[in-house]
Amino acid sequence: MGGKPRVAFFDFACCEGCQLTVLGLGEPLIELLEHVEVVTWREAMSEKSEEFEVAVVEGSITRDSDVPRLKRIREQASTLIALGSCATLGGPHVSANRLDQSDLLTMVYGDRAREFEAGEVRPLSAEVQVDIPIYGCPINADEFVSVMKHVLLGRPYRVPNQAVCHECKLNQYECVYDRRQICLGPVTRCGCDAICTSRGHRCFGCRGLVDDPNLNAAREVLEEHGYRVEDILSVFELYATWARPEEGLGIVEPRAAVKSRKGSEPWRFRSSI
Amino acid sequence: MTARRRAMLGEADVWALLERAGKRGPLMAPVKRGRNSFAFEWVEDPGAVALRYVRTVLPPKRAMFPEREAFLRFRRPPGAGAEAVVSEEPYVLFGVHPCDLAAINQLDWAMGRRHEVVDPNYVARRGAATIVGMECLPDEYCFCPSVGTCDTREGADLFLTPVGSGYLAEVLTGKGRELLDGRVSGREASSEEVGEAEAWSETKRRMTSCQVDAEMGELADLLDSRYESQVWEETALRCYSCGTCTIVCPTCFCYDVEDRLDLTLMSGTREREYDSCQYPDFALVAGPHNFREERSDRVRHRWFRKFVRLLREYGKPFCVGCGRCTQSCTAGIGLTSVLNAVIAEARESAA
Ligand code: SF4
Ligand code: SF4
Ligand code: SF4
Ligand code: SF4
Ligand code: SF4
Repeated sequence: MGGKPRVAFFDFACCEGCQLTVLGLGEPLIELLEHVEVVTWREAMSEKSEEFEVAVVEGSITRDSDVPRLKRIREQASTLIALGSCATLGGPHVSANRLDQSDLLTMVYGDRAREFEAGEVRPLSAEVQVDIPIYGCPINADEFVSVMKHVLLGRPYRVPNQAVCHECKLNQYECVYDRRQICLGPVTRCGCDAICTSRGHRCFGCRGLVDDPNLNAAREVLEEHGYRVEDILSVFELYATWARPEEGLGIVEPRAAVKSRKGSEPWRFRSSI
Repeated sequence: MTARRRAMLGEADVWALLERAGKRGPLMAPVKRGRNSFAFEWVEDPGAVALRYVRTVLPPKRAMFPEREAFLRFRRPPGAGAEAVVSEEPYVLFGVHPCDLAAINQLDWAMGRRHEVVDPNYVARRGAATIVGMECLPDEYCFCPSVGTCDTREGADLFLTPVGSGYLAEVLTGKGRELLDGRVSGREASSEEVGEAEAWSETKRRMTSCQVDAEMGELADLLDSRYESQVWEETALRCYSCGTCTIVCPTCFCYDVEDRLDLTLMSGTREREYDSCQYPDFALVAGPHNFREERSDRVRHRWFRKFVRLLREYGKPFCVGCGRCTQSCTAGIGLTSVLNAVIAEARESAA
């Protein structure tokens, strides 16, 4: 390969917010450009090239006609990075999979529905092998820089697999549950430095589920906070639907027998809200 | 003027003390965060310090063992040089409750004396501290009397107990005397005031509503006999493995290490960050083998670590009863609830 590795940016169905996050990096982006040559980036430049080593791909696959393009990118790239929750999880529009395809087209395009193509919304990994997933809606710019450093040095990147609570606690943010609201932090993959809970919002789960989420616990806890199973599914619908949380949430296990004992601490969810 | 061993300070004197500590160097103290949470932070404005609080999100150990810390600066390629990053700048750590003092004493052992190789960053930061302890009142999650940490003074240089509208200050070390000296006009405490301060201990015991249903001396054997208990499995059904209970624990000392390169790609820092035995990948080693793959194995490990293994090695449980783990577990898993369930099982099966 010689010279600097060539990087190409591509996008499929998405809002381009993740690419915008990369563009908005400022100083670090300029420093990164010392080490790489960007050869294709529709959002940022007019030049194009089919020759590259690193492909950064944003967006999800929604039309079968997009698949050959993605496969060509995969064949060319020695490293394929999936950028953002659309590319890694399908994105918020996965919720469209719950609707009938033709209804959906009519809903969006009215009379002209027949001129458009739609299909199951799916992450890149449903079609090709993804080397490094960068989760987030949008991504965390620092994580993008860190991934690029790993790629440049040929080191394996360790995708964060702790819950958002890890970063939330390290930053000593007040827990949303302490304000008697719910939060998806305990089952959501971290890496965002708990940006939402830093502003007093709950985590919406935009980075998707951790590798081994305890959805059974999530269901019990949310139920104790007054949520019904349908509400719980809709809480998960934004970002976790491709991962099919309903399969995990459907399992009904006996409750832990450890909740309240005389002389031990009180059960904190005694009065559900 | 040399300060007396027990001086009575007015509240204004305590603010003056904070002011003075803040001028001398860095000051870490509890401040209010959010609607109802507190955090030990490096404070710029001593006026923001919370004199009364029940517990903070992270314990004060972060002064000497920060949640994220760079401890080495290096250059590439390997062999091009590296320097340790250690800060020995003196600081004041204010407002540490007795349970957290006990935890600092435990970490002094774990990081400084337990092994031949010490943790140089912890030891340096610990040595740089002047610690002002503060008496407190328990809430429904505290159980310091059960684990014997209620009246801890060791570890503090100066200890304050609210008495009347002021504070009784116990000077415990030379550093404590120096912090008080000259600036703050304390007067000798009367015997009534000393008596009132001493009554706190009893009040705390009376107010504590949860406890461990066993003597500390029998605890390790009781738990050991229930290694295969169903309680671990049942608790695991509720547990997210989110790690919160250990990240907030003042006695936990696990961390993960990562090298972070600058964008020159030629230099960087080696950093550590709190890690948790509750994370699925915590016990993942080469192979790959994971010797605590099951959630229930990790759950059991938390209680065994505190009440079996380190209890036997240190002589006291590695839990100081601060209640942070229970208060912050979003699944509602209680430290003493689980412990007492296992104790009850052990007693039943022995009977
Ligand atoms: S992950 Fe979110 S920000 Fe990124 S492209 Fe998709 S919708 Fe936009
Ligand atoms: S606010 Fe959410 S992410 Fe933070 S500790 Fe609470 S549950 Fe976890
Ligand atoms: S806190 Fe949750 S919703 Fe917010 S950025 Fe992080 S993962 Fe996404
Ligand atoms: S805080 Fe609760 S849910 Fe999270 S790992 Fe600890 S016991 Fe499990
Ligand atoms: S185990 Fe829980 S109660 Fe005990 S010291 Fe740790 S956080 Fe505090």
